[in-house]
Amino acid sequence: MEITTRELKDVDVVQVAGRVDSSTAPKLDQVLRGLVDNRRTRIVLDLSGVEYLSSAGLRAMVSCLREVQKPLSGGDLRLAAPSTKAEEVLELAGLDQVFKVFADQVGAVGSF
Amino acid sequence: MARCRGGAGSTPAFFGGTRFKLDEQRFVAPARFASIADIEEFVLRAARLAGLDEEALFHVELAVDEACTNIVEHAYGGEGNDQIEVACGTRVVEGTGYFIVRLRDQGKPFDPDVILPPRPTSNVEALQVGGLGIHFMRKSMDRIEFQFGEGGNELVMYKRLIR
Repeated sequence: MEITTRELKDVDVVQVAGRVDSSTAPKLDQVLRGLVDNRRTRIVLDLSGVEYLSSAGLRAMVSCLREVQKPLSGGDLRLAAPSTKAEEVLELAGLDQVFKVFADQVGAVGSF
Repeated sequence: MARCRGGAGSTPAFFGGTRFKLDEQRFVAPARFASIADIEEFVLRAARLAGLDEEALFHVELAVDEACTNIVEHAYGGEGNDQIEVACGTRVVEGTGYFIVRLRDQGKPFDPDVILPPRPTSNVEALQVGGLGIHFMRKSMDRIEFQFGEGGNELVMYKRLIR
């Protein structure tokens, strides 16, 4: 799994590629926690390069969502361009109703 | 085996609760997260040979990944020197062909019936994240069965060969 992050004004874009499973999800969790710890709570997670996503990856995402949506945080974790497999897993878990999902990164960043 | 439970409902075990033999290939791996990729590779190779299509392969991959993760995290309580035994093969049941994966461990048993599917909600605080693994197994396979007993824990998962 590869993770790249970049700042676009007050939004952080986290791009994930490859497999997000029980072996790699801790790394995603670490990156997302690092942003929240630095009070960067407007986050776009680009899932276009995700080849595989398991419940371990979803746990990291939900954990981050809970943190950024706390009243004092005032942020959100929004998803951009989920791959077909990522989308299927999100739907399977019912999380497509929880996360705001955008067709592309530009739309997700612009939504803040 | 002391108990036998179906995964998709409360019907009896698919094979009448009896242990069965597969035209199986076996693989034993350390119960570690890093081993799950090896287990998946072993199972997917057999699944491809059995003729599963790409969508079915993804479902098998997801179910096996979630099952192995649960074994490491919950049955064994974390990574250690324990093992996961895997066997897979095909079998025709009542005229329908199935690809079958069997996972065995010697960890703690649990009651799969108390793990309910996630309730639809848009409230992040009400989100139920635990138990997603079993939910994924139930949704992505055609049938799953758990058995727990003195010989250890056994999970058998079935995927129809022809969709």
